Amino acid sequence: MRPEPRIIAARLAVLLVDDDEAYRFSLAVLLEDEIGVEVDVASTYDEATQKLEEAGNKYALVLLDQMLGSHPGQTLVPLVRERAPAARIMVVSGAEPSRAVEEAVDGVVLKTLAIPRLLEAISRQLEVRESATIALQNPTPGGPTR
Amino acid sequence: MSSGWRDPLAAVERAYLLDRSTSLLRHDVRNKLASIRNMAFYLSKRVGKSALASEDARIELFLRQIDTEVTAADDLFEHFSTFSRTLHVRIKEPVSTGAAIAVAVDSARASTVGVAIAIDAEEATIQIDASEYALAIRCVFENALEAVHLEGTVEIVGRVTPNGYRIEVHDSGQGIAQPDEAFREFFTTKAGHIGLGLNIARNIAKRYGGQLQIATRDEGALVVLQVSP
Repeated sequence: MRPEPRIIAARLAVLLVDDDEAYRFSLAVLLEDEIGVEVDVASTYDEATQKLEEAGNKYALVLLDQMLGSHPGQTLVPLVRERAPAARIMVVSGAEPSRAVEEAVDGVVLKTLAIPRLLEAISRQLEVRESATIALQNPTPGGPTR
Repeated sequence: MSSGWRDPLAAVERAYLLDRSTSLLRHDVRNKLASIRNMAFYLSKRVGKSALASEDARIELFLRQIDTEVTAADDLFEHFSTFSRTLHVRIKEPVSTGAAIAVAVDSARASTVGVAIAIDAEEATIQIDASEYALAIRCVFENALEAVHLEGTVEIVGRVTPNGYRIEVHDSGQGIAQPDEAFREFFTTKAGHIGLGLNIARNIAKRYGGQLQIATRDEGALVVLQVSP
């Protein structure tokens, strides 16, 4: 049996960008209940831009829909990298993304995936983010200092 | 402009329309199916632990069945979209740019009455699917004809570029007010149109390593179709 997605200890924040209202709402509920993260949502490119510009640094993970109205979700990647440099970026897509999209982000997950596996993939991104933060806070003795 | 009974680009255009509409429908339906699965998962988690679930075993069974049925529906869509993508078999072959422009212009379905059409195309041979290339040119040409509203000029200029071939279509119409919106599928400002023409042209250009660019000039619009096959 597949392990349950791990509840992330600290209450990390996730920005979920998706133009489908029902999907956005239902996934946000699952992320909050099953992984224990705080979820902010954006339904358009402009709304996501505003949230990133206002408080990009708070997000540990940004989930992007691949088809966001007239903008492909990945067009937000440069802004996420600028405003939330420590955040992981994951595309949540209904179809296989192109190689260019895969290379531009940290992970891809298909909406067709069974829910436990989808939550597991998202948890993994948060764990990577947490490990990176811990490593930054506790640099290896003798390692480079700044 | 076409006076014959048969449209030489009808088959490839139909294949494109089916592929694009299936792809968009699949995206929207997939979102709906994924939402249903999310909600069924949530209910299963909540109800599964309640007294209600132990009283009636069918509740858990039905919740599980929702997930199974949704997965089956999604698979059906996937099979259909795979099928629609195979309707046009692409053949890359040497194609005369002059011949492709001629087919596109001759088979255009918008009226040319009152429109002065000028063609200045450098001859070249490029490796491309002939029907797809002519369809892309026709989409851009028809867009220009419709923009001039039976009065004005449409000029087609074709030039060899270091990595392919560029076709510029200038028209003397109102210009394109929202160039970004022009690429939004099923977005149109013209009555009786479905708003896929420039999108089809852009997809074909991208397939052959190129791009489609739109600019509004002092008078009218300029659409540039570049392929680098």
